[in-house]
Amino acid sequence: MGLKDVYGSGGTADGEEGGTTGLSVFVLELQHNHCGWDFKIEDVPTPARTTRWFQLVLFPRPASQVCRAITIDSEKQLTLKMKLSHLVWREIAHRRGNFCLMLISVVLAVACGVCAITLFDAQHQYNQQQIGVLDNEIRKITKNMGFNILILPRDQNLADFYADDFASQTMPESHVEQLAKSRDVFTIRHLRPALVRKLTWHEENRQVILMGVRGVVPFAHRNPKKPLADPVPPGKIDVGHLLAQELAIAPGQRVTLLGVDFEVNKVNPVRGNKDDITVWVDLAQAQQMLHLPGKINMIQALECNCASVDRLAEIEAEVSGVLKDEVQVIELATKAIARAKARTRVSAEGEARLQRWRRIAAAVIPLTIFAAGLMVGLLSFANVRQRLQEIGILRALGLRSNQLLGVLLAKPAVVGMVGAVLGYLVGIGGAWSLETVWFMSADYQSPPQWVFKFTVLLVVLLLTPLLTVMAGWLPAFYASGKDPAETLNLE
Amino acid sequence: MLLELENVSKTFSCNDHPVRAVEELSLQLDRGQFTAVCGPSGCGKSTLLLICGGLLRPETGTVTLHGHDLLSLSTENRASVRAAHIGFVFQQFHLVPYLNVLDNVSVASLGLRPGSAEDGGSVETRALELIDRFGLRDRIQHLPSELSTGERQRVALARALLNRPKLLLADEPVSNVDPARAEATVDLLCNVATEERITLCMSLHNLDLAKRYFERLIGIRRGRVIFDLPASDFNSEEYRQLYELDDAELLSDSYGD
Repeated sequence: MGLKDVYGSGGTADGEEGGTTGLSVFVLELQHNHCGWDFKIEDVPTPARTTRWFQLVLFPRPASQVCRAITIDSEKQLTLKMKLSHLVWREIAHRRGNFCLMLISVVLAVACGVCAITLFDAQHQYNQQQIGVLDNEIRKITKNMGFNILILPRDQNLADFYADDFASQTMPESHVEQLAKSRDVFTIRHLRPALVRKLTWHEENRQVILMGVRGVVPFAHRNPKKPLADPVPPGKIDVGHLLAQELAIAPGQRVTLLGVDFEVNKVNPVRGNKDDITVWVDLAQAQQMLHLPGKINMIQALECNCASVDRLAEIEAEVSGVLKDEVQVIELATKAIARAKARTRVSAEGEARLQRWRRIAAAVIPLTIFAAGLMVGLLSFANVRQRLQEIGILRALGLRSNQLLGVLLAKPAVVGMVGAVLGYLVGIGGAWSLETVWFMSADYQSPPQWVFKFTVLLVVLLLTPLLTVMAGWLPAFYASGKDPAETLNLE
Repeated sequence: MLLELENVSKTFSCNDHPVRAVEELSLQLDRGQFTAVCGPSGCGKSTLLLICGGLLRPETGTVTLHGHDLLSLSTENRASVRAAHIGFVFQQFHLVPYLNVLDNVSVASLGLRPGSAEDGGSVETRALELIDRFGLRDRIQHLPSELSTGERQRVALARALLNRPKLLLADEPVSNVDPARAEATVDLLCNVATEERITLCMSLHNLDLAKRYFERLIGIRRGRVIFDLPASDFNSEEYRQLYELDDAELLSDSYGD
């Protein structure tokens, strides 16, 4: 016997509690009419999922068990064909305008947010790229260069120094030893004391620069480093390229300078600066020739490396700490500083642009989210107002408030999910279009940056439906709790 | 006995003026009985049916349906009892505007608790059976806006019968159609109710129909029962009592409907 045969008699049983289904009614009737029989209900496989057929198998039952209670296995609980989701989709299809308006507001909000975040990320990525490129170039250019600093006597007039190209004032040569022995000097890698004077080489009738040097002074507490410049041995002289060329001086030749006889040690290559008219001799000999024993007028501090941006001040602080305001510090290698400053400036400019974007994004994103939330909330409220009668009908038909809440919130949830996907695509597309115009402009001349962040996608997909459901919650809650007589205006 | 109302009163506020729609009304409906509630407009018929159906809460009194004290139940449980045991036909039919005829009939099954209803196939079978009986087969895919008043009325009746209710409450379901169609509809409804042993309680103005199809007639005026008798005993005196207007009613037609 198939259950289909008894559908017609469903509901005719009298006195059963809650037995409104054809199946349970039939079972109760069977209990009364066939007390001597036991039975079981078995599924009959059918291809259609919406319809389930059952087979009732009867067999004799012992008399002692005739009146036992009959229950239906929970696995046999039957499902309804009409689903709440059916109501949701039908309502969306029926009120397409309302759905589209909600969807457009969400898509716009999500698109604005995604576009702003993507452009922000693209700008950040561009900055990082530019800084990376510049950093690489600077590293190549300034390799082994560092900052070159001149330490001069405190009482040296800098205007005179710049005019004469050497310091007229002197300071004790012992300053170099003090610095070299100090444990507080970290930024300077090489110390090179010198005594420099511009003078007339009477023997050759030429203006030259005499530089007495003693090579690089090693730091007492550090590992020895490869010297940056070789010392000039006593009795020898190094000659600048231009001077040697004009005076036809060659290495090994003997020359006389200020009455002192020297052998030419080497002729320096072309340097394109005052070095080309400079002669280098041993510092002690120079002091003797210039009658300035134990005196120097500058210390070259070479390859200074500092952690901070204001490197000069850092070096000056270290040197002053040792020599107690007896010296002053000026830059020697300005190109390196200029490059470093340029690098800092690029970085700062990029950061400033990012900061501008942060401010714009901080204003735009919450505003669009708030506007979309408000829009969805208002549209949900209007929708709920429009549906009050229908809500009353469903309530009168026995739908529980949580079922109604589900029906009412499903729409904002669908709007949120569809809006999130569409908004993300529109936002990414918009950002790409803006980048194409923006990055290809004269300011950038760079191809658009392709930015994809899975986190952004995930947040958008999770947060948007949550926000739209939150926006629709209040009107839905208000409507689902209403008394049916009130919503149907039956009073 | 299926339904019992005891000393039920309901008052509405109209422009800060209290209007008594139902006043200390007591009533019992037996299983399978067909009862017609008659009375002039505004006498409290609709309010009475809404209270019977658990859609409106009276200020005083008790409502017992099939052993359940409806007023002591929570809103959710009352909704479940309503879905399982009561079919309601509203005067304005109140169909869901975006559902077609089949869905509008089937939607009544949504209120049933899981496992307490017929299976998917049977809901559809039952809905189609009712649609056939009410002559709506060719309108099955139509929306309420595409139906005539009579068709909408029949959809509402089919929806009310879907869950095989124990009690069918109908608030003037035939007041919007012509007399011939009204009689045909009442005839059909009574046939289905007889077959399915449904207790029927209907408010209507057509006393001729009421006498012919219903076993019991209850006359209501100003929220009070003025007669409750077998249909066969109804005569012109009761009719006069029911519909004779006094001066106050002529001036104000603001009673509880």
